[in-house]
Formats: sequence, C-alpha cells, structure tokens
Amino acid sequence: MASGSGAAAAAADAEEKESGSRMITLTSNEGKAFVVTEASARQSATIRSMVDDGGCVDKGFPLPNVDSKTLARVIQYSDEHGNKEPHTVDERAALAKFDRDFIAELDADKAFLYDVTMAANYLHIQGLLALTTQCVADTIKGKTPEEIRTAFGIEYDLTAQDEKEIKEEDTHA
Amino acid sequence: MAAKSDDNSLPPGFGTRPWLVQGSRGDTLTFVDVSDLSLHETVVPEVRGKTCLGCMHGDWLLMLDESTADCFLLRISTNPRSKIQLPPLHQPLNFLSTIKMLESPDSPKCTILIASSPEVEEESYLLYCRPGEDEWTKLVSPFNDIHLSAFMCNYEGKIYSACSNLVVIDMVDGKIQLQRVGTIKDEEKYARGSGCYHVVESCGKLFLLWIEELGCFGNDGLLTAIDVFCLDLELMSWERVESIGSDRTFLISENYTFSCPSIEGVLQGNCVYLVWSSCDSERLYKFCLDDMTISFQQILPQPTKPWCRAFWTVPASIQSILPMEISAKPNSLLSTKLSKDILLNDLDEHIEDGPENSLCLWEHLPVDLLELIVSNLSLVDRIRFPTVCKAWSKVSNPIEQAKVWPWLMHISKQDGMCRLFDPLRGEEYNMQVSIFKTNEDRHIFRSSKDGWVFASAGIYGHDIFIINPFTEDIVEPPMFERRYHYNGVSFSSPNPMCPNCYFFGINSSLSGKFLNIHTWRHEETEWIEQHFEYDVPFPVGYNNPVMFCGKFYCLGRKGNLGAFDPTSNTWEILDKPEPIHAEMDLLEDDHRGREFCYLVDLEGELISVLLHNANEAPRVFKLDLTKMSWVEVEDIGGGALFLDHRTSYSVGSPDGGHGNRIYFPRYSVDRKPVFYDMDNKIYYPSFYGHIEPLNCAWVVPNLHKNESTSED
Repeated sequence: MASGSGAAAAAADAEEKESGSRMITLTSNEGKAFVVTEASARQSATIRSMVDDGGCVDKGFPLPNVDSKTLARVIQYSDEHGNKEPHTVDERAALAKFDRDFIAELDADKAFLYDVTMAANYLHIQGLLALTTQCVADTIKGKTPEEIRTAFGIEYDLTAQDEKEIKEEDTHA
Repeated sequence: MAAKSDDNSLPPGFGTRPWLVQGSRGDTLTFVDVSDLSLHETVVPEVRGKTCLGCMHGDWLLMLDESTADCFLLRISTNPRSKIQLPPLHQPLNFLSTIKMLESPDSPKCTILIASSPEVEEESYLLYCRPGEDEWTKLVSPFNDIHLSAFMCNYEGKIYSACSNLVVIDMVDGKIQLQRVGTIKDEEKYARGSGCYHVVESCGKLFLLWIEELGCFGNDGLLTAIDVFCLDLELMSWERVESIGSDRTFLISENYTFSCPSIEGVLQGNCVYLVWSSCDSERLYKFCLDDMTISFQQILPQPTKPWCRAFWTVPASIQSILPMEISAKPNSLLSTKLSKDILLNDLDEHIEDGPENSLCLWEHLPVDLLELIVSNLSLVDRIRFPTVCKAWSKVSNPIEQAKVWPWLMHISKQDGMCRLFDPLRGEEYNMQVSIFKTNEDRHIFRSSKDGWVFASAGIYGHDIFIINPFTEDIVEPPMFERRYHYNGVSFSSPNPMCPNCYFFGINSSLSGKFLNIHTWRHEETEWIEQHFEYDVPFPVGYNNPVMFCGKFYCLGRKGNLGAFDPTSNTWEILDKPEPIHAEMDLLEDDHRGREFCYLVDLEGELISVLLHNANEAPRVFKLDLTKMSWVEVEDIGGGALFLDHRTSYSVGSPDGGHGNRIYFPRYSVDRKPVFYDMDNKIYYPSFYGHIEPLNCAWVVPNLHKNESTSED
C-alpha cells in the first residue's frame, strides 16, 4: 500500500479530496476505453494504488487481464458502490437490492461469473469478490461433487487413488 | 372454534372427499375437514346419548345406546337421514373389536359383522346380523388356532381376515361362511415390540401395516416406526414393501382402514394417515413413506375417550376406484399376480441441469479464491469440495476450521443415502455411507455420542454396531441376547475404539420395579447383565445415559437420577436430587407419567428437561451440585439444547442468535428447524405440523479418524 510516512498519507488524502471528480480511463484487453469517475475506480485497490502512486492518470490504465464485457459489468458494480455513499436505511436497502439483482444475473451465467470473479480478484474489489465467491459457495452448498461438476462444467479428472488420498487426508485433519 | 349449524346441514365439501366425523355421545356430530383441519358441528338428534361404533361404506354410522342396547345404522348425508334398525346389541363395548359391513345397506347382501375382542374373550366368535333381523347370530370360529379379531378388511363384497392366516368371510345362502385360504408367513412377527397392526386392501392387494410405539405409553406414546408389507399370494407371506403407490393414501382410525386415491393438497400420495389420541389433543399423524418421516396435526382440541374417536368417512365413489386391469378380473385378489417391483419407488435423484457451456474455467481458480469460497461453506460441503476435481483438491485442510454442532442424521431406505440436516443453517445434505447400503439388515439409530452413532441391525435389532458415519470407523460389540429393548445406551470414551471404553445399556420395566444394567468392554466376549428389583420403583426415561464426572447418569421418569460407576461396577439410585414428580402413577391413565424427559450435560452442568405437550412450555432444571437438588431455570445462559429420546446434546454458545433455544428433531416443509425459544416462550415455527424423520439421531460431526488404525 502507498502509505509510507504520515505526511505522504496526508498528502494522498488531500489529493484524493481534491480529485474526487477526476475522470479516469480504463482500457480493456481489447483496447476499448471506459471512462469512469475516480471514486468508482478507487473501488479497486489495484487502481487505487496506481492512482496514489501518481502514475499514468492521464494516459489511462490498461487492464490486460480484463475483457470489455467483463469490465463493463465490473464498472457497473463500482459505479454503484463508489459514486454513492449510502446514508439512509432506504439507500442501504437500495444498494443491497442492487447487489442481489447484480449477482442473480451472474448466477445464471456461470462462465461470466467466473470472468467477473477473476476480474474482481485481479482488481482487488473486495465487495465484489465477496459477492461472487459467496455466490459460488451458495451454488456448491448441498450438492454432491458430481452435481457441483455439472453446475460449473468441470471435468472429472481425479483417479480412484486421488480420491482415496483426499478422503484419507480429510480424516487426518 | 367450530362452526356450528343446527339446520341439519352438512358442511360444504362433505361427501366429495374423505372427512373425519366424531360423535361424542352428545346430540352433535363434529366434522373435520382434512383439507384445512376446520371443525364443523351439526346437530343430529338421533345420536344423542349414543356411542358411535364406526363409519362404514361411505357415511353409514353404526350407533349403539349402551343403556338400552338399541343399535342402528344412520346415514348422515341424505335428507332426511336414513335410519336402519338393527337387533339390540348387549355385548359391552370392550367385548367388541373389529366391526365390518359386508356391502352397503343398498345391497341385499348387507351384513354387519362384529369380531370378539381377543383381549377379553377367550372364545373367538363373530356376531352378525342383516337389517330386519331380530337378533345377532353368533358364529364361533371353526378354526381353533385363528382369532378373527383385528385384521379384517373389505374387498369385492367379501371380508378378508389376514394376519397369520388368510380367511375369507362371505355370505352364502343367507349365512356367513368362513373359508380358510392358508397360513401366511410373517418372518418378522416375533421381532416386533409394542405397536399395532392394520390390514388394508388397496388396488387388489392386501397390505399389512405395523405401527410401532415407544414403550407402552398408550395414547401418549411416540410413534417411532411404520413397516409396510404386501401379501405375496404365491409365497403366502407378508413381504416388506417401501411404497403403497405414489397415488394412494391409506386412512386409519381404530380398526377401520381405507385406501383411497391421493388428493392434491389434501391427502398426499404414498402416505398413511392415522387418527390417534394424544394426551393433549386428538391428532392426525401422517407417515410419509417416500422419505420415512412423520408429522402430526391437532384435529380436535381434546383427547378422545375410548369409543369417541374421530372416524374416517370415505365416499363410496372414491373407495371403489380400482385400476381397470385389476377390477376387470374376477376375484382378482386371489388371482392377481403381485409384482413387488412396481411397488418400489424409483429413487428420484435430483440433479440440477448445468449450464450448457463447459469451458472448464472453474478448474483454474487460484487457490486463494478457492479458499475464499471454502470459507463460506459448512462442514459437509467442505468435505466434498476437494473431490470435485484435481485443482480443487489443492485447497489445504478445508475442514479444519469448520465449527461443529449437532446435526440431525437420518436414513429412510437401505440405499446407503444418509441425510444430514443442519439445524442452525437450515440446510440438508446427502452423504453416502456404504455400511448403510444393505439388502438384508434394517439399520435403526438408537443413540449417538461424540460423532459416533449407536445403531442396530437385523429384524430383532439385537445385532448392534457403533459407527462414525464420516470416517466409517466401526465398533462391533457382541450381540444383545434379546430384541433391542433399551431405554438408553451409551459409552464412556469419546472414541469407542479406545480399548478402555466402557459400553452401557439400561432398561426398566414399565412400572420401574425391575431394572437391568448391561455393560461391555472390548476384551469381553459378551454383555454382562445385572438385575435389580425395587420397592420404590425407578422407571427409566427414554433418553441417553450421560457420562458425567466418570459415571453414567440416568434420568428416571419421575425426575430423579440413577448412576452407574464403571470403575467399581456399581449401580445406585441417588437419594438426591428428589424426584421432580413425587407422585406418579405409571400404569394408570396418568399423562404426567408419560411425559418425555431428557438429560444433558451443558458446559459441566446437568440439565433435565421435562416435556409435556403443546400447551405447556418445556420445563428446564439445572442440578445444583452443592445441594444436589433440581432448580428450575428460565434460561440456559445462551446455550442451545438438541433433544431427542435417543440422544440429546447441548452447545454452550452457538453463534448467530441461536442461544436459549431447545431444538427438536423436526423441521418445517421449507427446512426450518423447530425449536422452543426460551426468551420469548414460544415454539417456532409452531408445535404442530412439522416433519420428523422416523429413523434419525442428532450427531456432532467428527472427522477424526481413529488414530490406532490410521497411521501412515
């Protein structure tokens, strides 16, 4: 993290306040540019540290690991969480509803859920990562390994010996 | 409140589907609509002061005036009601057992038959009469060895008596004739404990139902099992079946049984409905054979006295619906070849459709993300997680951090499938346990401790074993000498494979005057039995002995304690604490004596819970060890109790607001746990209407493999 000395941190804070309305460009691996508010971009710890390091704010940030479709969806989340600070009960409820709807859509498309999870991990967006991994966990809950494989389109690649070892390991825990 | 009508009208919907009708010797009949359990009362002056002996062939009530012996049939749905006078019936009520009517009064063959009660009468006989006759004809059974009592059912204008013998009862030339078809083999006959039989005809087949009760609690009992048998006419034997048909429902009250088609939202298919009086109310029990669970509803606010039970009234139109191919055949019961195969339910394994894409992306999730996912999973999911694929197996120790608390484990069939219900998260899991996959043995859970389940096998339940279902480690003590009949069993060590583990079983006679202790250690070849007789009885409660301060503590039904010390091999009934119930008559009709009691160790303190009925909160007592006396408490310090007559558990401080709760081995249809909330003093979601697996036990998952066998 970019907080060396107290003075540097204070300076970063001041800069942040002043630059709250700055716009930042994020570029997908297909070269498509997305312009977002800095507040939205700061949802990502990865981008936040790059911004605070005073890096290439003007040139924009290339994101070689994220495609346009995924980035658009990630920005949708960051905008909602970064641009509005929920204060009232109603606002918090509205944000919770946004999260529910957001994840319900992803839940229906497991391949896309994977992309968004990987992007959230790469960009270090804690809230989004918690949301997607919880969704994955919810899908796993109560299913047999075979059902889990079916749900996620995973191929069975364990040998009988592997399974035996895994079972042994379990019971040693 | 019952909707009461005095214009003789019957409630809407009556006569179109099965209802319950109850006469209570007043001038009203009470009707119970089983679709919503609403009550309707109708004034019927003819029934004033009369006892209703049953309801047959649709809505014909058989009424008896006990003081004048006036006996008649009354049809309630016609306007005006039809009454058919019968000869006076002088037999006292307890001389009567099963009553049947051979064809309805619309038929010239209509005959009423009453079998003598085997409990009261040494001689087995039938009384019968036809409408218009002056007196009942007595027909003594020509078969010395056959009692005609309870197991009679109507079929195609005849009556079949079936238990150990199949006897056809028919009207020939105006006289009742008995024809013995043959002896029926019943391999499990002598293995059964206390309970009751019912015979029912359904779709051309004869079924025998055995419904088991815990102990001899009469109407206060706990129904613990249902076994269903179908008569194989070729083998002439009762063959166990798992289903009565997905579209059939059996209705039972007293000795009356009916098979009728299931009705969506009212009567569920492959279910047996039983009217049964409980200490607090008249209840309707539902046995669901698909998943072997039981649930009960209150149907009448008061328990009924003998001969005031609610009887099924099943419209004749739906009773007579038989599948075409069977009803078309003459005398099909005796000519239809039975196929057991079609009775077995297909296992409806539920596998969700996966997404169409199969990009195999998910195998490539980085380990730190996999760990993040695992942190959101509970125990069983954590166990399964590494066996999904190679990449997922790289997550280290997914189960180590999982918190554990009692889960309700149950098996419904012998297919190895074990269901685990997590009461705190309200989720259910399936787990394969290979030992439970067996064609021969019937495994019944008897008790559990520290993740180990005490189960019995075989029809007599005397072949016992102790299994950790998660590791499939197993301990096999010697067989019990007799049928399983223990009030409680347990063992001393957290690991029963440990050589110095002590195994303990206790049972007492109903009165509590006779008591047996059974003990076993690994090096011994059989259980050692000690017998005790008491002047001051100690009736042992149905619950697990609790290992506490090195002794097995056993709770008596009066609320006092007995303790067995394994080191000195001595048993004693403690002077203190004093019994919670000083006076208790266990053999008479004392409902208090039949309440359930539980003993549990909660964080180093002994807790007893007495549970009476729906109207009373569970009473919770803590043992004050300095004074050795029970102190009734209003809360349990944020702990949670998990009660069951097999084994009870406690958790000192459960997470997430689950404290001060008493959990029962039940859940709602939408998998919510049923508990008593001690803070708000309510049952949640409610006392009635929830599902209880018949063969279950609370188990605290324990994944530690026995050390002595797992070195590598």
